[in-house]
Order: sequence, then C-alpha cells, then structure tokens
Amino acid sequence: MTNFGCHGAGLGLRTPHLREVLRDQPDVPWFEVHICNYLGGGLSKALLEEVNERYPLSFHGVNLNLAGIEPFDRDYLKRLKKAVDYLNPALVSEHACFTAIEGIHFHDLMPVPFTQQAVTHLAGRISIIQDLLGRQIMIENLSRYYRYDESEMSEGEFMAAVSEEADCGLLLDLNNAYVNQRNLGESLSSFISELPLERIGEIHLAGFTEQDGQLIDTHGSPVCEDVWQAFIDFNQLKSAVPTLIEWDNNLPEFSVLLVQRQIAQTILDRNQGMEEAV
Amino acid sequence: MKPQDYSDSLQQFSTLILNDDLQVQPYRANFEGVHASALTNTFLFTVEILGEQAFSALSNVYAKHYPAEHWDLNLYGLSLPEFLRAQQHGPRAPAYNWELISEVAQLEYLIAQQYYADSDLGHGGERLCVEFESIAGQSEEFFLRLNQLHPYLRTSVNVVGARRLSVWREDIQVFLGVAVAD
Repeated sequence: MTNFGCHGAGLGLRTPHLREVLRDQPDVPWFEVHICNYLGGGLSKALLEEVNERYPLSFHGVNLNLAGIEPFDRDYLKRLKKAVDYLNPALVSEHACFTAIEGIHFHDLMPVPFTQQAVTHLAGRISIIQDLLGRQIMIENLSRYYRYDESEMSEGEFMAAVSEEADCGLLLDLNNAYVNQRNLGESLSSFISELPLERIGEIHLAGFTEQDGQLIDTHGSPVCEDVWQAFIDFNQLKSAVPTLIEWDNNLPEFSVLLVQRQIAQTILDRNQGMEEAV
Repeated sequence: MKPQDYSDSLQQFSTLILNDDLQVQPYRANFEGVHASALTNTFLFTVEILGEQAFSALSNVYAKHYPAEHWDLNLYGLSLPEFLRAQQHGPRAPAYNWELISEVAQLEYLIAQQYYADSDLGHGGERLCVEFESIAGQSEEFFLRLNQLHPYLRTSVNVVGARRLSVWREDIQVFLGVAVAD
C-alpha cells in the first residue's frame, strides 16, 4: 500500500495505457485515475492494484452526484469507501456538479446555480463524504455551457464559499476556467483571484475542441498556449501544487502524454528554482 | 420564470437536456454521444455483425430514448437486445437477422455484466444462464470471433450447438459454457 504523496506533474492514467505503464514503469511521479472505472471487477481493477504498488495515486470521481438532490447511491459509496480504504490514494477529488436526477444518470458534469442555498447544500454533502472517507477531499471547478439566471455570485465566490463551509480542498482546472472565459466571457484571472489559494491542492491541465465557435472541454488535444500561460501565471501566486495532464478522448500514444507532462514539470521546476534563488 | 428553489433549478436544467433544448446543446450532444459510445464499447460483436454505420444509427436512437439508470456506464445497454429484436417489425426488417443480432447483444451484455461485477462484494461468481435459439445454430468460427473481440473470455469447446449457455467469472477471467441443464 502506498502513501507517499503526489508531487510535481502527474498524468491521468487511462485503461489503454495500464499495461504499458506496468511494463515500462515510466518516470512519472504520480498518476490520477477515474476511480469510477475501477469500482467494479475486471482486469482493470487488478491492474490498478499493481500500479498502486509502484506509484502514488489520486482518485478522481465523476459519478458521486455531489451536488445532486437525491440521497447518495449507497452501492457507489460502499465501493468508493472500500477502494479508498484499500488503496489509500494520496488525493481524492470530485466535481462541484450534479450527475443524476430522478433516477437518470447523465454521465456528465452538470452545473448548479451559484446561490447561497447551493453553497449550503453542496457543502453539507461534501461533509458527509469527508466523514465517510475519513479524509478531506477536493472539489473541481467545471467547464460550463449554461448560465443560471438565479445565480447570486460568481463561480470563484461560490467555490470559495463551499470550500470554507465544508472545509474541503479545491482542485483548480485551468482549462475549464479558460473554456468558461472564452465561452461565457468570465475572466480567468478574476476567477482565480476569488479562490482561497491555501485550499488549492491540485491543478488540472487539458485540451479542448472547438465546435461551432464554442470551446468544448473534450480532453482530446494538447494543452493550449493560453492555458500554459495561465499555469505559468498561477505558479507566481502559488508554487509546487501537484499538477495533472488530463487526456481522455482521442487518446494518443503514451509518449505524447509524457511530453505534455514534461512541459508542466519544467514550469514547476523553474518556479521552484526561482523561489529557492530568492 | 426563475426558479426559487435549488431543486427546481436542477430539475429545470435537466428537463432542458431531455427536451433537446438548444440552450443546452453541448450537454444534449454529450448525453447522446457518451451513451452511444458506451454501447459501441460493450457490444463489439454486435457492431461487427450489424456494421458500424447501422449500429451507430441504432445506438443513437437507443441513447435518445433509454436514459442510463446506473452510475456505471459499463452497464449501460441492458435493454439493447430487446430494442434490436424489435427491429424485425421495422423498416429494416429484411436486411438483417435480428433474432441472432439480439441474442449476440444479450450474450455480450452478460459478458460485460460478469466482467464488471464486483467480486469483493460477492458478485461475479454466480452463473448467468440464458437460452439462445439462433446462437445455437452458429459454427465454431462464431465463438472464435467472439473470443477475439472479448480477449478476457474463455469459451468451452462444447458450446457449439448448445441452446442453454451460462456466463460466469473466476478471478478476472470470464467463462462461457454450456448450462448444466444441457
């Protein structure tokens, strides 16, 4: 069982790369997995146990329905707790979203209105999960393609309020914030300035796809220049935050992911070097 | 009208998606796309028999009308065999052997069900038995191809010609064999 933390730039580990990672044991400091893919049986679950022997892991969830209005799925919770207890990942994270309603599972990260009622609701459910797992979790900001008229605050204010009330961490997805800036005209820098930096425990970097003039957060391309710049800028505010390259669709050769990871690591190292020099 | 309650907001939003409202087009596109794609991953042999184009058209219709009822996307498609069987009454009826296609889909769903069952929670060891009419008439090549497409599947040599088949799992291996009654 590993418990030696996630540091530096890690990679999202997807099922097609599992065997290659186990065979070649690439020089990657940590991996993040979509834990929902490993809560059943099957070969992937067995391979994940092997990966866990060699690398620190981060569990990233997409099906908890954290901001949903129905009771948590007990079967899902049972499996999640078992996986967390058994594999003891260094990090656990989910999204500030709902994924199911009235028995329909959308398998998508759906936004919520940024209201005080939503803050209280979401924070309360995060607390339930943190109590169940016996550890702090992080919640991630979304890429959004819809704006609720009833919102009373900005996304940054919302995430800050939820994290304070639930005493949870934040996973800052810079690509999501960039997509929102481009699609919804919401300033990325203002969003970041509203977040409590001390709560940010992980960063996600990914690529998007452009469809009909809109950016879609497909995780199907390299990180774009603007997002790399946002990452460089963020490192001026807070350094050494574990950073992840996510790539889900049009999954390339593993070597392509390694190149993206190295760029992120170089930025982290450069900033670390500058801090030490000061 | 702006909803006053958090629950109302979420319900209104999800209704927009289900009603294919243009305001939430990216969500609607993902709703259909992610589920149609899940079907392609599970029903590999069915895709091959039908052809990618026909399967894609049918899976899009299925995804539109059969919302997922489980968090595990790997288990999406429970009703696909029945949906495919019903095509024998539709405009494409003469083009395919829908009975066989439906049975293949049913078999592939059973394989997925066993593969993803959580053995730690006591699932996967039980044998799932089903009677197949059309599959019973298939040759050894049929089962060889099934194994190629599902590499973690091990098939007993005596399944050719058998009507009642069972699917079960031992450790991470899924087995297809003749049900005891045969």
